[in-house]
Amino acid sequence: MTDVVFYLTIACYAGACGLYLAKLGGAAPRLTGAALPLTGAAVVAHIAWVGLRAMRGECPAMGIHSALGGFSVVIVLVFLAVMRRYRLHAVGAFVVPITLLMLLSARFTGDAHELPRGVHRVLLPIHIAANLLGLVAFALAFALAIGYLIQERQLKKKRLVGIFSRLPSLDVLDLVSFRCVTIGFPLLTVGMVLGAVVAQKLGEEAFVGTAQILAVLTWLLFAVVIALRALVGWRGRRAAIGTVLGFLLAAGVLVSYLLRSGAGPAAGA
Amino acid sequence: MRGLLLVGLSHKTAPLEVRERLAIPAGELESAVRTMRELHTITEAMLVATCNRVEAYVVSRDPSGAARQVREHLEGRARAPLAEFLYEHQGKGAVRHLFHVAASLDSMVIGEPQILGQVKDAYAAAERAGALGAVLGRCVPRAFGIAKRVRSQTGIAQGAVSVSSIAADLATKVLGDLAGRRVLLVGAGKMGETSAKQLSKRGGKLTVVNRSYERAEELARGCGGEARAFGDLENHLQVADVVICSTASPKFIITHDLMASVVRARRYRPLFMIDIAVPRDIDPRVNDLDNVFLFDIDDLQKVVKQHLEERQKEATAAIRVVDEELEEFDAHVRSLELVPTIAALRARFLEVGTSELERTLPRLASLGPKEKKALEAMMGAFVSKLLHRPITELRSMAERPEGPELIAAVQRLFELRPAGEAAREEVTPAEPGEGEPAQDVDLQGASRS
Repeated sequence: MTDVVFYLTIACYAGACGLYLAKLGGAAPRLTGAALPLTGAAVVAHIAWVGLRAMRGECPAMGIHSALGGFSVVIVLVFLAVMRRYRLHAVGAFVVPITLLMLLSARFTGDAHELPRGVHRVLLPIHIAANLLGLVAFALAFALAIGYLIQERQLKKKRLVGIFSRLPSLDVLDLVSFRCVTIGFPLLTVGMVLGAVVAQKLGEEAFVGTAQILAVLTWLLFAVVIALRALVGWRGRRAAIGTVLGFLLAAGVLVSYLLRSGAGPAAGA
Repeated sequence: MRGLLLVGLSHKTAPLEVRERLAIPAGELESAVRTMRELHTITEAMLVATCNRVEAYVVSRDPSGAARQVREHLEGRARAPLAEFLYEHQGKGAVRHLFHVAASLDSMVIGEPQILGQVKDAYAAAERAGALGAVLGRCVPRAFGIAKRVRSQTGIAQGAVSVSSIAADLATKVLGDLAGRRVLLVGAGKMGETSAKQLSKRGGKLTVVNRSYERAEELARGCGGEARAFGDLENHLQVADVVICSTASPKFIITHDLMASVVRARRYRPLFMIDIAVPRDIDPRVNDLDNVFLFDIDDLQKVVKQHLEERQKEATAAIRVVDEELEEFDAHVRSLELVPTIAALRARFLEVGTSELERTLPRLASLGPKEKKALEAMMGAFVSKLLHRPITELRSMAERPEGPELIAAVQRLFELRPAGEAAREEVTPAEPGEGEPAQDVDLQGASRS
């Protein structure tokens, strides 16, 4: 049953993903009108999948893989909420594929783990949840920043073709992207601090690995993006580039965890 | 759709000086339609009058005679010969033209939205003048529906095609909602003023600076903005969201260095700049600064051209939509034309059978009421069986191109006058057409049956 719901979720996301990309590519609205309902169906199936797993006793935040599978639905929920407010349909072409990738990697790159005993039973799920929710916020910020960079270039070069008419205004893209960064940054901070605490308690040997270095770099980069905007007023293209790089670093952290054998508790991000 | 006739001229066939001779002010449209409706043989009329076209859509049992009358009428209005400028379509051709006009496929700027409103006004005027009937009453509302479908399903109405609208659209693309945004108009050029008004209409708060303060005040009053001294330009640039320049200055009044310091002072808030002046007022290198988007008149014209080309491409898809709808409408109308013919055919056979029966029955005195009834029933069944095959064939042929000819042939062979047709002739005494009266089956007759 769980598998059926999982594949149904994947099918809905894949369909929505194709329709959003077609929409961005200029396909007629009557062909792509099903993108949003399909995304809604995918979210329902996704939540059902998480629920079925929880009923089997699998905590959504007991390990990086199960957490990724569970929290990736948040990215779409946030997207749906943001889209309702700002009419950012085009961003679906970036957000839905990211979610699909997260869900697939959650399913096929590792297994769930038992929760450790003691204090970590509380701290570890919070550490993983905070980091993944932060990543969700950065993923949205990334999608919006990519949209900003494409449109900004088109306006500067006066090539107002292709997806130009389907993207929202630069101001909205910049504003919402920055809001996502300001939501993701404290989550990342909490996740990192808790990760350090958990790792120290567990006495992990490789306290400073690739993932940890990337996590610190991610944190620093987003700190700079936020600070420069507040102090000097940097926004637009520079902020978008910073956001894109920041998300790529954060994704690098995630990939390094996913690839690491026995992705259990760890310090850093 | 037989009986429908269009006579008119447009920007495609007549120069402005001819079109203006025929111009009909909005207030006079109703009386003009009434006058046309009163012409002999014309049963319905509608006049579409815009700055780019004057077209008379009329319904008549004698389209050739009506065409002559309408031409004379229009020439009388223009007080000039119009033969070389007027075009004429009948039946399906007239409907196709109407659908194209309403869908803005025949407009000077394809996809412009005004024409649909103008056709709606024409329809309303014709309705007030009591000049509408079954034909126009069916075709014109269908044209509105098709125009709506074309606009929503194709891109013919997408992308602004005037410099001022494009300027406002681009500003929206950079800044989002323009409500409350500060628009700075530098100089008093006409095109700058038009663009500023467009932005002001979308909620922008306008400030006008000009070397002549009086002229700035005058402009500000006209656009609902406020005038400021030209000397404060740098300060105004720091707070503005949109800048429109259209001065007559021979050199740049907004230099790269000036804007570099302004951008820092603005803390990189986005700024959309339009330079409509020739020679240019703004150093083009300003576009390289972060969060500054500069468009000069050539850039805007390029966008206009691009949008027009895109609309032209979309017109092919739009014509396909119109043609599909036209065929559907044509088939529908033809099926309506068939109904009175079938009724008349059945009535004709029953009439002959009944009269023969009435002549025969007195000679069969031995028959009782039961037998007489049986004979009448037999006659009815005989007619039904006899007509079953021809009626089935007529129904299947009605929606094909050769359908109207077949219907006409049946009417001629059996001397049929469909009920609606006969009723119309009683209501509208019109001179008989040159052809066979039995062929004049049109929408009017069909709809009344």
